[in-house]
Amino acid sequence: MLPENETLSEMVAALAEGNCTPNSLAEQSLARAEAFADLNSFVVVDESIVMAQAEAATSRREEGRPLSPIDGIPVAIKDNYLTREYPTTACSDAAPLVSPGEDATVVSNLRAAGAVIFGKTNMHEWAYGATNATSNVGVTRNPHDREHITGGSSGGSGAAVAAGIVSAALGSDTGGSIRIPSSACGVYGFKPSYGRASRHGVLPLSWSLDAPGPMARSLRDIEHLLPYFLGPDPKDASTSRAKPFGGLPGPTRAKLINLSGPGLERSNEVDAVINDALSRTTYNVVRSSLDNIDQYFAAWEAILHCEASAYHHGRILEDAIGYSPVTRAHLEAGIRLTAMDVMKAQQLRARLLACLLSDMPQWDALVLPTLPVPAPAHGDDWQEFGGRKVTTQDSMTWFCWLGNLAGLPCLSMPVGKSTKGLPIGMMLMGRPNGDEALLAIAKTLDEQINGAS
Amino acid sequence: MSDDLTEDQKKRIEATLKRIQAGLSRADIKQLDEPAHIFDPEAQSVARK
Repeated sequence: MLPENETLSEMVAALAEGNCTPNSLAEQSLARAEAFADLNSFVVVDESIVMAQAEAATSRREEGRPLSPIDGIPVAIKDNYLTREYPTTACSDAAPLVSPGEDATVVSNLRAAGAVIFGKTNMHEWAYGATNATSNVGVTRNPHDREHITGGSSGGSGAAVAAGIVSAALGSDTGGSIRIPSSACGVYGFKPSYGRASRHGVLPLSWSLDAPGPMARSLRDIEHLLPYFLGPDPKDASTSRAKPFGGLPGPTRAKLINLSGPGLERSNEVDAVINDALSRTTYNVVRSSLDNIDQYFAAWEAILHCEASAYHHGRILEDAIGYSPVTRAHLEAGIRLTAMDVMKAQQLRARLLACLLSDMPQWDALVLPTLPVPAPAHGDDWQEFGGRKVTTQDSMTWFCWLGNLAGLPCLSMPVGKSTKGLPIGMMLMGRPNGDEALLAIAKTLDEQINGAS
Repeated sequence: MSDDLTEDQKKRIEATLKRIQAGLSRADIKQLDEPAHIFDPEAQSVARK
């Protein structure tokens, strides 16, 4: 039974009204981290570090000078974000196990707002996989059913939020690594537009695909957190033209395209839940297909592997056995791609963007399931759905990579459960830099589908 | 292939490359299709500490 704990938004209100303190929130999170230790969602949580931050936040609130509405709220950090007080390992033996003494920009922003940097969450090694089955601290377990995976690579963050250890956590997303565990664990996850959120201090997987983003228990929570992600950062050139979070637009009509067809298959169970969810919206929803999915997937995979291999090249020459065997195989494949392969992939990337943004009839959000299947069982290496049989790894990224290849803002929201009680999520993709518009559409859908207020 | 790779790793590498190159080769890419590269000189013009 999962605790019906507060959302981050409810914690903001409770702190403002004096109904709780940062100390009490930190103590609650520490107790729950211990109670849910079997999930293996954390690499490290240091009680003294947590309580020192909480006590400082409590003092600020007692003196009537909180740094922000989230001052004193515990936030968990995926273990590929640099953090001042904790080492950053990427859950790999190939990572340097020392603290660099620096915060990633997003962590720095949250710390400046008084958020309690709670601990570092378990992840798929180097974010280079979507199951969280490969980690040097062991697998992460799904709070809804320990026999099932959390998905990844931000699986520890997903489990920690779903279990109520923390109300919010940070993830990073290169092919779905925020959305996948959000869907599998029944929480909300947001991947900003490429170039809208600083990647500085987040260990890279693929420079042109990566995005940092929040995972939380409501879309209102995501709205609270996005200002700490969005905006220009001199330390990340991709954000040079990024606009800060601009607030949500008012209610508008929106046209949604429900994508399906070859290459976008899903299980009957997932399809039924998504169709039922969409039947409850007043938005205009039309169906459409997207051709040549296999070609675009090859482009995403080529870009992913070549960029990852370039980043890791020096380390793999020195410490190849520090990587898990599968991660090393990915990196070795990337080394063997040719320059022409990569340029073709970039040509296909441009074509996908033209197809989605110019050729397709005008849309405000694209809709897909986040995952084609509910969270798979541990040790289940293959998934069958819609006439396809694919590896569990490929089933996790089945839809999500599209958002990274196109650089679109994306989110996952829970919309139902499987017959076994596992969460099923729906993914929305918005227009480039339309992060606020996408969140506004999602909030309306959340009200209509889930009755969220 | 590196000598220290296992047979399983070699198979994974070959399968990955085959899948990527098959997908890319099916694409009807025109010679003049510009890649989605990003080159923004102004973005590099920032104050360094």
